[in-house]
Amino acid sequence: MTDFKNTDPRLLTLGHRERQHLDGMMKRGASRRDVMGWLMAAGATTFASGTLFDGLAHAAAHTPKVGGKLIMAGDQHGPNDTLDPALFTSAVDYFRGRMFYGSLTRLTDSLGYEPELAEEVLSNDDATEWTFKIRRGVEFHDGKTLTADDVIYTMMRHMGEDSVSKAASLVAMVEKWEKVNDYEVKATLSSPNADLPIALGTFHFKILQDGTTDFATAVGTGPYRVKEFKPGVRAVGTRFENYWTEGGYLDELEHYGIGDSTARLNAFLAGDIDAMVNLPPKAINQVEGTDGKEIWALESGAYINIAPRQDMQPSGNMHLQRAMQYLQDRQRLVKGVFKGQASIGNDHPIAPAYFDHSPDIPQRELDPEKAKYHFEQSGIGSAAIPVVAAEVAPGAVEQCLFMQREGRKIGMNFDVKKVTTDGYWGAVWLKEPICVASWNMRPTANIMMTLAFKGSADWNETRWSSEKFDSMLTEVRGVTDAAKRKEMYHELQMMIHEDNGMAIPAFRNYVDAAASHVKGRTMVPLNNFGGAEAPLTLWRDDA
Amino acid sequence: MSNDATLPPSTGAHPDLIGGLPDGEQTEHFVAPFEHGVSFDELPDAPPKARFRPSLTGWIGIVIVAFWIAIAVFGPLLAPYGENDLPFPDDYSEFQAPREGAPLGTDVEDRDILSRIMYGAGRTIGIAFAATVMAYALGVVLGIGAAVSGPKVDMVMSRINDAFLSLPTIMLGLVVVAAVGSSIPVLIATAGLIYATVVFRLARALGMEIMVMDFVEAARARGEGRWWIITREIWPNAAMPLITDFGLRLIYVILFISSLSFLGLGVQPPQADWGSMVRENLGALQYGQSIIPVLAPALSIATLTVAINLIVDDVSAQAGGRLSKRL
Amino acid sequence: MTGLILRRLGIGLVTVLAVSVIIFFGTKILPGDVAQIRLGQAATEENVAAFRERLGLDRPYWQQYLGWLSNFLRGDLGISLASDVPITNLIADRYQNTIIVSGLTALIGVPVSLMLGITAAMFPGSLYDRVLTFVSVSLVAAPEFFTATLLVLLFVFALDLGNAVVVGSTEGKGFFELIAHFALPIATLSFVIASQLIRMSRAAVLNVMSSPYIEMAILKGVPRGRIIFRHALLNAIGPIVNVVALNLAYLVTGVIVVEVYFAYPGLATLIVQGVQSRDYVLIQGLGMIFCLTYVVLMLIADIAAYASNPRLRHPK
Repeated sequence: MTDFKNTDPRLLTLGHRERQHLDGMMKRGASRRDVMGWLMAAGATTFASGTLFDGLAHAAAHTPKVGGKLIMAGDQHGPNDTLDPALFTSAVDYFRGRMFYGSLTRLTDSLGYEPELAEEVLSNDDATEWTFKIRRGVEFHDGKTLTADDVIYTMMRHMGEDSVSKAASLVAMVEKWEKVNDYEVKATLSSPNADLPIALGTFHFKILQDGTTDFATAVGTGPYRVKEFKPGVRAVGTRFENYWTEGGYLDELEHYGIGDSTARLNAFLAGDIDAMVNLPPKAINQVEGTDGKEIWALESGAYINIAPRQDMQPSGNMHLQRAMQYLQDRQRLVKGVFKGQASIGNDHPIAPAYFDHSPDIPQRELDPEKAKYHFEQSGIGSAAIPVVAAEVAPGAVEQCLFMQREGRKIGMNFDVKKVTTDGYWGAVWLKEPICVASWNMRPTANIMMTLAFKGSADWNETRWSSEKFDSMLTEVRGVTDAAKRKEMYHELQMMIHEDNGMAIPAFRNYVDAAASHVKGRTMVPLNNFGGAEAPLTLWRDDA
Repeated sequence: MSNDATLPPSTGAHPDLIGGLPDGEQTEHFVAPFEHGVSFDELPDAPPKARFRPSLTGWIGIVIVAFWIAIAVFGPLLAPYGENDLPFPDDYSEFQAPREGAPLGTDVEDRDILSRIMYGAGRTIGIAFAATVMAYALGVVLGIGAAVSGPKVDMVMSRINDAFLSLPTIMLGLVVVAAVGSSIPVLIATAGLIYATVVFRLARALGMEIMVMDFVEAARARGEGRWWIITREIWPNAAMPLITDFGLRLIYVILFISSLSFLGLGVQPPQADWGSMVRENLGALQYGQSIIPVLAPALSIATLTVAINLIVDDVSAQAGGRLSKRL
Repeated sequence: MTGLILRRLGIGLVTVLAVSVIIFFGTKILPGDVAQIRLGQAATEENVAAFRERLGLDRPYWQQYLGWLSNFLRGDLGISLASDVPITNLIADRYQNTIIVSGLTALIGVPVSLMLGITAAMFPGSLYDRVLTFVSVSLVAAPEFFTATLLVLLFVFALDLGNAVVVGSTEGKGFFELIAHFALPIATLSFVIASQLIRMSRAAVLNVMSSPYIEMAILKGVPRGRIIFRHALLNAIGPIVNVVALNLAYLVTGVIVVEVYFAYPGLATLIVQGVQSRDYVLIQGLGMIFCLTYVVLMLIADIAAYASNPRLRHPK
């Protein structure tokens, strides 16, 4: 397990992404030669790389200790917290899902996948047929053994018109699930999808026991079993002794929701909780300066955005959209609001953290002159432009306030209305002409764009629709030629950048914090606490 | 006593989130409260005739309140920056200590604290004043109306009022603001309606108490009309305790709004008001270069509140010269 | 006296009924279609229609109201829209915390504040009285979250005592352990109610002190302490009990900010969550519970006022 402060002075020459990469290398058990070679390529001296490697290797050599208890704090939580994986909506749900359940595949830090409950994953050549061989001898918390029936039951809950699953769109191309025998299932797809095993490693596809309908508790195959679960209050798991593999080192793992960020920070600094999600960026310096506390920052493709609806007014005005993009104070967001734990966005959703990111799109900057030109072209004049915002992520409200401030200088009158967070997704988002959102990173660029930018997607925020875009998005899934694929993804990102109208001013890192005795962090950049994968590997240094 | 000598007015008022009631309305309680022994403690024994002559503490209060009213009116003209402007646009650090160009430092969004206090004064005092005036307009009219109307009307009005009183203010506020969205008119109307219930109780009880006093009985016996009684007898006698209460109600409205701000439903950013300034700058206590960002608005609220209290105490002390004073 | 209490009970019932009407129809104005919210944005129109029928949302309002009220009387608060769990389950978890915190605050904060107020009334105009009055006036002005932050900074970070938030379960904890568990919320709430209680109890005692029979006693030269405890206090019990009851009602229903700040789940935060997730069934249930709490506390206060004051028991 890795163990070094991202702020280690010897690492100062390295950029954030390099540090993250290094962390990943160590965890995968890379050799001294590999690491030193990579470090020197990244600009370190031989000596520095050598000592650094020793330090890192020493840290990584720690074997997890068994025992002890950890309290991890999430943020948004409430009566609608659930143990039904198909209905998971928030980081607290995802974390609990990993505590109590297992899935067919497990995502790796580099966003590939490795087998979990499926010990082998096979596909035909064009990725339209997938076979999953179920691991033998995996036990549920109640003693029953995992078989293909459980997998089929779970997958069927994500299928069909009336599925309540929040992730049904990720497996919408699956035509049917079949049981081949007790330890083998087969998925037949209507169109090729090489990323299916990755999709099945995400939060919602946790394997349930056949016939489960009661979610007051969770009987899964996960490393912890439910000791207590109270929606909106806490969940406590105790170690499941018959867990099928390595993992689940703690006697007890508690997940506690503290909605208010000041309260959460207080609790963390006072030692009441061992780790917390979403450290307020302005408190980063303070935590870094506190002994025994560490920042768990993770670069990702998560972004905040302002979405103007193309089919409404005044938001449908193309010049207004462009003016809004030129009014984004991206530097201030990244430096001031996120304190550097973010990167500048370029009005398209594919961050550098994605494999398919295109670096060749010209960066849009704060440019009052151009904004003014488009504002004048728009003919909106001094009429109020309503913008609805909620504190759905750090910076989500600020991006609007900054835009409002810059807009006022050129005579634009944004009327920013701040509303509460929780009712926001149901009552405001996708309904108002201009409103904000916050997105987590998805495992692949294709999944991200399919979910939120495809013309027919439920979550197509701007209602921008382009046949060319949609067909290319489907087509690229089957393209194996690297150069062609790169070219196509560049064009897809360019189309969004130019035509969609969405302002995406910043990609934010997941910034959590943990006490130094908390070990076993994961680095999957899809959510807080390392993609909510941490429950499996967490352990206590002083146990 | 007209109708319900035995009907307890049940309670003085509803405890707010901010948990406070003015001295004036509390001792009103259960049954036959209109005898000499148990009545409004601050109610004058006889109709007040003397002019209000403030004591030293009273003057201090008046000076402070006058100062804040001046800031409220002229603040936006005098403020060095706009409330959402950045004094140091190239600086990306919040909660700066006082420095040249920002005498009180900067806030969580790097804005000038002094300017925001000055802008906030008008909004904070203005909202509180407007809401309290509204609460009084509604509460006094309906309350005294209930007192002089027949028992049936009084009964119906009082029960409806009781029903609203029995719901927590902050819950009512939350539901209303969440339903229609937060804006300054909505905040004023919500706070005004919620506090009207309290004023209703106070005004009604005062009206009832005065209705049975000898001079009112006499006026009735003379055959004076209801309107005459209200304007000539009840109002002059009820005015002093109501004015006393007015000052305190103002404070509760400020705190009520700041509690809504705490829950994200108060005055909307980037607009400044003192309560939400305390809230948004709370982090300064922990990781700021200076704690002025949170102290300045908190002290502004405190000085205004204490000053209003000083005036109120002075007024009520003069209104009822009591043996207790001489003890 | 029985007659008066019965009448008081009747008024309480009327109040509860009036509240039920206000709450039921008031929650109907919350924006957003309940069935739509419950089923999410992927739901088809048929799904929504079927769901509305299942919940009885297609019936006229007055029928819905009667059904809801009769369920409420039978102790059935309905099913939460946000989580599909019976409201009673959601409330049960949190009622305990709320009762513990308000109970302990009452046990600690109320007697201390009353003693301070009464002793201030014994020496009106003294330095002690002035300081206490000034402090209590300043406390009125402090927003709860400000008081809470100062307490956290002082006790948790400066003195290293207590927890910044309430973490962990209350199960199996004894009396003093519970106080330690909820130390800062109790302290914050005690400060909040202290300001009012000190002022009220002082005013109530001073008020009685100015009545003719006390003046008589003073003129006769009865010692001040004896006047206060023998004569004045007994007669001031009515108003004081009333204030205490109001504050207890506040502790049960109005402590949202403190619950959010110290992150313990209580009834007041449940209201916030209910409003945010448009769970109007939850709001209705909680509203009724708050109203009942208030009415019962007021009833107790009134009965105590009767019991303490013979004059009230025998109205002319």
